[in-house]
Amino acid sequence: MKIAVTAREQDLNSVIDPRFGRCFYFILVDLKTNETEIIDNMGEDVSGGAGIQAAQKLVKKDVEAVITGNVGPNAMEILQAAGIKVYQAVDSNVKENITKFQAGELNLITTPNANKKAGLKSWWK
Amino acid sequence: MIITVASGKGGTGKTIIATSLALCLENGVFIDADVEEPNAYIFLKPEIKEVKPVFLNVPLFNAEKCTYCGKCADFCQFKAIAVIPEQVIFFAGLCHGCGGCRLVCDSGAIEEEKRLIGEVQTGQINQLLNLDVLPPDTAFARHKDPFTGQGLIFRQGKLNLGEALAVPVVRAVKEDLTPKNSHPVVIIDAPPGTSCPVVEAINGSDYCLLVTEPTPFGLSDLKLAREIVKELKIPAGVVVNRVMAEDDLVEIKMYCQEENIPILATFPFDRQIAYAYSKGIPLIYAYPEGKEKMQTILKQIKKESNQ
Repeated sequence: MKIAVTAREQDLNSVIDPRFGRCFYFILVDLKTNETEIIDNMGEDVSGGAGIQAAQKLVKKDVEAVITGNVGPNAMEILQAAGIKVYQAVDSNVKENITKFQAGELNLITTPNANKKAGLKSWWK
Repeated sequence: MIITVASGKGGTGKTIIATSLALCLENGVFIDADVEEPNAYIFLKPEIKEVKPVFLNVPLFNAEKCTYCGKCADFCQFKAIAVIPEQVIFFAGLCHGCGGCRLVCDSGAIEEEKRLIGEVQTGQINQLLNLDVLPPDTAFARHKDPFTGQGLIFRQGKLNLGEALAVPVVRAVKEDLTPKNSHPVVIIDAPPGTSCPVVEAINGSDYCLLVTEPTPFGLSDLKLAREIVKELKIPAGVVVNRVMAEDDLVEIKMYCQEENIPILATFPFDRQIAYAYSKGIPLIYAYPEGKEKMQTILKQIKKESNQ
């Protein structure tokens, strides 16, 4: 199973990026082989449709689940239509979240938990 | 001659200047291009005679022909299309109607459909202003003959509620805008700010009047607006509104000198103007020197733009 985690840096010790569409990087992990791949999302560089393009990237990579903080309505629509499950991150560390995901401790999100354009603001939090 | 009134900062007095300028013309066209919230009609009181819908051409996906190759989604600069296995998801609110997706589609699976996003209203200004709403003991009483603007054609664009894309409506409200002999001057009231709808409103004008106010925000946004006008190679002049003292003008004057753009007029921070504004009465009826100043502005614009 291939999962994605939104991250601020490019390795598994990075902190989570709580924004889905505007995250810095996606860290893709194949849970079978433990292979990782980094996708530079450049989510801060787009003016609109950040969530849509981020979701589209995950669809292309055949990701089955994503661990993140907040997902807006447009991104959620695509992720759900593509059957990509969204899990709420509980820890600030990427690795820790993956461990908890494997232990079945993360909650599934099925409705958007952020408004449109929310990722533009949450950077300051 | 097409004169666009713009500002950068909102609330500096674009509409109050633009409407009064128009009322000083014998014949002309007034266009409210602030399609997100047009308000010039409050001052000009037009009678709307014609309403034209504004459509945006958006893609319509044919599921039978689509191969889900994703070329359309890759092409879309506005991320309005997402392609997932066996499904195309279209976000109509993000589509700019460029038609690019249809061009890159190899299987002819994209057709076009029209989406209503706003309207253009056209009318005539022929209603007498009711100056009785103003206090009788003020300077307004000096203007016993409210000009009715009978030679003015009025046009305004209106973007539908909830729509995000103002540019196509601005484009529509400016359609076939060649000044005619019968209506030699066109005044366009631009939206505030310095984003795409403003560029669309200013583009193609012969002159741009930049309205500012003596505050740090006013000056900062004047500089931004000036950059647009420079880029579009349109001559510009400045009007400073709400001036309280001569000292207020020091920084704006310095900037205008550096940029070599003239300050065409200044208007005071005046309670009577504000009161009239609140009653929907144009500035020239509230401020005794108003009409004269507007005519000076028009004359100088003609001189500056060599027309």
